Amino acid sequence: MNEGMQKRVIYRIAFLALTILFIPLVPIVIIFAGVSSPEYVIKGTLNMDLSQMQTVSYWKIYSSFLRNIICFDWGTSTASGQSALSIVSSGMLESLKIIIPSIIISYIIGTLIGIWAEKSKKANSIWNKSQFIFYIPMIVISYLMLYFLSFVGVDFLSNVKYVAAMIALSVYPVYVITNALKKTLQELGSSDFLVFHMALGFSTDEIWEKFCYKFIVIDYLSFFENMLIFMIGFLFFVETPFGIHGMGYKFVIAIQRFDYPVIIGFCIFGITLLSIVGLIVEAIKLKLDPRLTSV
Amino acid sequence: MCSLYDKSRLKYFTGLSLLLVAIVLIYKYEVSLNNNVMFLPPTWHHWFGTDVIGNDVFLKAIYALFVAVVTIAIVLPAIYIGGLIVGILVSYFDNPKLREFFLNLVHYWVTLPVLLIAVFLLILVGAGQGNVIGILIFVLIPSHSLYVYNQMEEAKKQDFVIAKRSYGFSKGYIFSHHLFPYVKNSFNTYTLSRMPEILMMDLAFNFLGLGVQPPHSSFGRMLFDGLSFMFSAWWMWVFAVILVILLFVLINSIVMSILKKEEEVRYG
Repeated sequence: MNEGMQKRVIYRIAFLALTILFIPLVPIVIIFAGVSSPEYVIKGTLNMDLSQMQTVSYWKIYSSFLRNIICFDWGTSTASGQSALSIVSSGMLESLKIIIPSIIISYIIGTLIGIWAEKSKKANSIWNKSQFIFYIPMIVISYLMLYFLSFVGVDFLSNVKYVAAMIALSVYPVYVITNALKKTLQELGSSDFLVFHMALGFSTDEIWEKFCYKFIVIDYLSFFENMLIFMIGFLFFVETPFGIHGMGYKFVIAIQRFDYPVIIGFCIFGITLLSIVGLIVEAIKLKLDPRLTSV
Repeated sequence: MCSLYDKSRLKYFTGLSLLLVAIVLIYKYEVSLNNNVMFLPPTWHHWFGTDVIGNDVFLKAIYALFVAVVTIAIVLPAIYIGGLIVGILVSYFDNPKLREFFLNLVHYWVTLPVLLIAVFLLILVGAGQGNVIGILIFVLIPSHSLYVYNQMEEAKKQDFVIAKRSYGFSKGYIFSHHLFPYVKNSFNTYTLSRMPEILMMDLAFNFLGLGVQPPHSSFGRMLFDGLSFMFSAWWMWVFAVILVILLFVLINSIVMSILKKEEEVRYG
């Protein structure tokens, strides 16, 4: 690993640690800036009551909340009394039913459209003209699909809702992957790299097999992180209309009820998960891409 | 930014906006003469029908459109200026330690779920469209400044910049007279291409109820309210959906048109 990459990984870990150190300040701000009813936050996140709170210092609240975060004890929901961790984990299991197929579908369809648009001029023209469809927000797509399913008499409360939510969630990622693949194919097709290897006696197929596919995989890996950020961030746009009780739906409910422990739990979970995924992606890229390790 | 864009089209949009304002004013006067009726489907007096408390959906939709346009109109120039200042400063001072810290911080920032962080911050500062705009600016500036920084670093390697340095021109002069004009056009395009993202995030905040507060309305709020009446009162969400689609198509056409113009300018 070269020095630059090493530093990047160290910085990432350091910033993640700083984020975790920053999060416990939130209940303190909520309590002492009077953003919410302190008793709910205290009871939810720290299992204390208001009279106990009067006697404890800021540091005590901060340190006990930090300890709770590290021990995955994010408090109990002020609305349902369940632990925030169990709400987040049950939501995640439900959300994974949509996220995993959506990622797979996005890659497959994005790749197929990208190759098709690159091979035929007509296809490319169709793609360029229809790109605006992919700009339409997924919430709008969800609403239209829900209404359409009801209109044609499909029971949208059955497993169909997962398929519909999956389609709505994959629309924008398909657009991103298609455009990125098109760009990579164009760049690779006209690169000096290709000409150089052809001059060395490699056939085009050999060059593609040995190098170019690998570059495309590295490109795909780079999108993976962004796609996950996008999907987790906007998950509530598909889960709320279809009534899927995943992370997004529960997040919306928590916000509606000012259920701070659950909101904070979701934020900690999201930030930690995506930071870890980022580190793993970085490590895999480092392993695959010789350009990153060479000095 | 507008220099790249077709001026005749700009006039067309201005005319259309004025016409819309006139229609809304006349319509508002007409609606105030009629008693509000709850849950009324679209009629001649209430073009888009009325909602659960008798508010006119057309007026709500127009207000939501206004909110969306104002949000973009504030956030876009703010992130443009903020990104430019931060990006140029980091590139200008060229301190290796500062640069390393900045680049790693921004790389970390862009790998975080920005929406979750924004929601987190919004809960701290409280709901309201003003806060949404402030937080949108705050969360979008880092990636914007990274773009400026990268463009500036690339521009620094150009022969004409090296030549100017060798002539003895000051750093400030090269930055203001050569580097900034060099990156300006692509930065304008990049800023405009973020319009859908801003609109999408605004939609998300309002859908979560963290943006515009009742009695005012926004597209996100209208969509959320319409969800409970998806099949019994379709007019509560259908018009919001249509306007959102139109807005996104319009934004897309503006971005595409600018990209095309820029390509023409660059490649002839």
